[in-house]
Amino acid sequence: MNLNLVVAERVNNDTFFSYRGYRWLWANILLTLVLIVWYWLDEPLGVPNGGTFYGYTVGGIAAAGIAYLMWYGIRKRSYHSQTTTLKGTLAAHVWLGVALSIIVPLHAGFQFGWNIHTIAYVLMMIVVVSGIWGALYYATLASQVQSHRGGGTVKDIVQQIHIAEQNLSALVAQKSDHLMEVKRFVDQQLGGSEFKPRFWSMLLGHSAANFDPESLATLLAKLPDAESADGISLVQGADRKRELINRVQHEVKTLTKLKVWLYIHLPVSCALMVAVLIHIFVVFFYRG
Amino acid sequence: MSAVEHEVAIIGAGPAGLGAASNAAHHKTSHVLIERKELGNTIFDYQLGKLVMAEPAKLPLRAHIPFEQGSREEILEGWTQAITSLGANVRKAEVKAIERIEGGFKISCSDGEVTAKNVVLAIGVQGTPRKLGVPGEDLPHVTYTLSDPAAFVGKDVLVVGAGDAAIENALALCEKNTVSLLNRGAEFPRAKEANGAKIMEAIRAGKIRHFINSEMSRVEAETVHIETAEGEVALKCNHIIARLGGILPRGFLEKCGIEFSSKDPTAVPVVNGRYESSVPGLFVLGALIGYPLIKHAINQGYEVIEHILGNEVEPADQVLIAEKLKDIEGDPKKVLADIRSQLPLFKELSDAQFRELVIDSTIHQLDAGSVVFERNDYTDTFFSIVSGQVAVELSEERKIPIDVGNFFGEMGLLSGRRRVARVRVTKQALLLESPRKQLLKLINSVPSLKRALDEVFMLRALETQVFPEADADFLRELIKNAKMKNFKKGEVLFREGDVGDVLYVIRKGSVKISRRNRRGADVTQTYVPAGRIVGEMALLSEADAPRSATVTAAVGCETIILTKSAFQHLLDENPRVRQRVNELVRARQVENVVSETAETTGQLLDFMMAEGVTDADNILLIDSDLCIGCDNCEKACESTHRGFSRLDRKGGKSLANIQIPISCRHCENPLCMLDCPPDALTRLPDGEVIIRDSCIGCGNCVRNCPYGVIQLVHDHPDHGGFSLLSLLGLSKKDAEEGPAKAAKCDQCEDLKGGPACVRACPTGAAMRVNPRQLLEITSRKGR
Repeated sequence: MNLNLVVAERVNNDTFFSYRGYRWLWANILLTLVLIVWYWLDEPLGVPNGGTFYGYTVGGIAAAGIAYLMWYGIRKRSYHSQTTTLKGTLAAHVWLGVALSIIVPLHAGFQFGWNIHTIAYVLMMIVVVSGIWGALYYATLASQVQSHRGGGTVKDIVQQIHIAEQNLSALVAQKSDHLMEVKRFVDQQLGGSEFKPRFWSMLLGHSAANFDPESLATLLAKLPDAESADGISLVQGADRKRELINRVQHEVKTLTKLKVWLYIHLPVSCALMVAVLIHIFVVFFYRG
Repeated sequence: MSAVEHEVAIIGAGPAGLGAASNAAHHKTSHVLIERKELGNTIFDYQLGKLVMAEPAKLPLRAHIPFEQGSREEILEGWTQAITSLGANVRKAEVKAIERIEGGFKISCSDGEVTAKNVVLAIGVQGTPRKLGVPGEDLPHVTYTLSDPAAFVGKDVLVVGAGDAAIENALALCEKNTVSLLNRGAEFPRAKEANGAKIMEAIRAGKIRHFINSEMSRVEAETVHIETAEGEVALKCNHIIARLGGILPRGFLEKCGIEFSSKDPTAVPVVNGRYESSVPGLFVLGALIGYPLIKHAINQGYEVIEHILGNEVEPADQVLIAEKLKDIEGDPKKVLADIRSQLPLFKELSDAQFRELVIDSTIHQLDAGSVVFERNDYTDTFFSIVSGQVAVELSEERKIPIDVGNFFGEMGLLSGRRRVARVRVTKQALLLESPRKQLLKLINSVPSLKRALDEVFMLRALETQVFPEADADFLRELIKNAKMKNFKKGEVLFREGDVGDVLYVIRKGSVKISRRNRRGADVTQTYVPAGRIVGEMALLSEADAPRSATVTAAVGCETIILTKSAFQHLLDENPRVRQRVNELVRARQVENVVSETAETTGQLLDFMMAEGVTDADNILLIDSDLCIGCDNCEKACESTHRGFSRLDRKGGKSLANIQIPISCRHCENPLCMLDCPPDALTRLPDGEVIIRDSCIGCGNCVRNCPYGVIQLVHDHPDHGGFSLLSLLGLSKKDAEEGPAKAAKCDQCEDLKGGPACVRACPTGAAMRVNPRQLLEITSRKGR
């Protein structure tokens, strides 16, 4: 039995990519194809560039497209909207964004250089790529957020790690040095006895590997008979702690990835808007 | 001249008592008002500055004391002034006993005796808090309320109890006092989740000392002795606040000779239209007879004095009656009497009860052919036929006529489910449509009404839902031996392997069916909603047969129990019923053979039942495979609901790919609606449970909701939508004004596009579903 069936059966399997049979993908493919064919048929005076009739027209379309993409930030917060769902708007946003990465070079006649015009294109591409990056994260990482699946929040797991550590410390208290040595070994493998939930170390840290079995066996063999059971409990407890540390790292990484791309996507899109305005001003008014 | 001192003694100076005393003083009748505490005790005990509402707004006030919506202090001042200027005779004493003597009553008080010809009992229920039950419980520093936490500074306070009142008091006091909390158990199972969390935090932080598994043994002036598991502790303490709940002082009332309508704990004293109890000359008013609203109580106080003086008094609600009956020709009084004579079901209601029923009801004059309600409508009112005739249309061929004096709509009334059939007027009819709450109140106080309804409930449940093929007269015979039994959530109807001897018809609620798998673990298989039968498999053979599964109440259930012989008789006499039952049994047998139900499905079913999905009519679920945790659903809710989100995504529970946020389930049987004084909670025809503006902020629904989805909040102005200020976090929140009111999900009834949470989800993870379909899918796919 696949639990996904429970939900899948009832909700149509539309995602923000496939919304209504990929209607926005098809619309943007159509738009792009029409502009490509026109570009191919167009015979401007001189080389194709942004200043031809074709260039101005496609430039107007691209500018309107960018305005529409920027409007998503407003639409997302227009909670009273009754005409569209946010999912549908996001579908249009995603596919139009991808399409613009082709439409804009058509507008420029593939003329790039060290100038404000190309800066605008570069900024746009940063926004588009970061957007694709984010969309792929949305599509693939959502199901990995364990706290959404009854797995406990980051705070819960950190607390469990502390409890696990307390249990381990209690286990070795007033026991032989040999047992303490096993404890020191596992602590060292886990990067210290106290787990400190530092954001960066959780984000960048590697998942803790299994304890080296040979070293463990050597250490366990030294234990007095009376403590051999304690030794096994200690290793089991440490392994549980290791598993918890990996879980919390995974959760923090997943949650961070779902947001981190926005720190590029949003500021650069604002910069893009400014660059586009300068680009338009330069083209029409600047007579330097 | 009788030997008694007064014409009337009024006991209790709450609203009813003050209404009575002021009128007696006005008439210059010899009277005494006995109160052990303060004038206007009911609201004296409210927290300082609390706004008191004057519900019901339309009912005229009839009294010599003023009463309008206002602060606690304003109202108390108005009452005290009125009582003083009228020269009412107030005696501050506690009443110990009331005895009959010749020519009246003897009232033994803490400061002597009083005799009076008539006694008016208006002591309410708040004045009877459950006491500590230990020596010293009556010492002056033991109180049962906390009106002004600010009045306590630097004291050693002990709060007793583990409910919300105790927790709230302890928390309010712990910043400026040394507070201890005495708990019989170790936890706070009865408290709201938020309160439980707050008190645990305060205890952990060392702000409150928590005595667990402890009982008080005695109270002394400066010390209180507590028995803990580790032995007795003497705690220094100069104030004790006991919050152990209130009780209807039934023992005291019965000792006075007053009869009750039934043994039910919710039953109230029987009184006639003049508020006179079964003891002549002893009158009972207000909350004691089920009128918790202040205005009702004041009016009753006024009227009872007029009755005692022998004055004709038109009830205060006569204007409302006249208004209600204005479309019917004739003198309203006569019309009312005519209506009453047509409805034998309400024969045993008192005049006051019947008038209240009519005032709360709607009168319909309908022509032949008009539809009263449609099948699957969500209305839950109760209809009585004053004249004309209607027909219940179960199907095109099957229409059951109902004549004058009878009633219909009772299934929706008790089960809280959709209407099971369309009802159409067949002869021009005058109908009385009464609200569910009003009927339930009457059922609790008038036993004959309950009996009559029970029989019809059972008959119609069998007739319409369970055995529609059976002959109606046959069923009528059958129910004479049938019993009704209620099961609490989690209670077992029967266990796998038990010998089957009865059939259960689920009339209300739903049950889960579970079987042991090969490893012996009990695995949930499916659930059975109201209107179906369980337990039929073991009854089909003559010999004793074991139950093939365990059946547990998934929510509170009402069942009808038929014996094995009655059921077999039914099958013998009705071949079509037999055929259908056989089909049902075969289907269930096949299921049992085929299924080695996956445990995961069972776990998911159990999870959803625990989270109230089986209760729900419409629930917000989040598909974790799609949820990116952006919380735009909460932001949308906040923005469309005056700055306060009614859903808490993270606070809810989740399993596998299903998250159930803390959000209204729009339950089939909404517990929040049970005890709403202004009836502000209501269910719309399409199933939504909403809170109307008439909410008075009493918090009953907050306490009654098992899923913690209702909160008391202050209104904030509508955000409208996107704004740069709100984006930058600069929009200012307005100051909190007026009383906090109950708020919860209303499924965005004002937005025609549907719930904002779902519309604002960028990935389509948030969805609203009717869980019945969901569960059927789960159980089918699980095999």
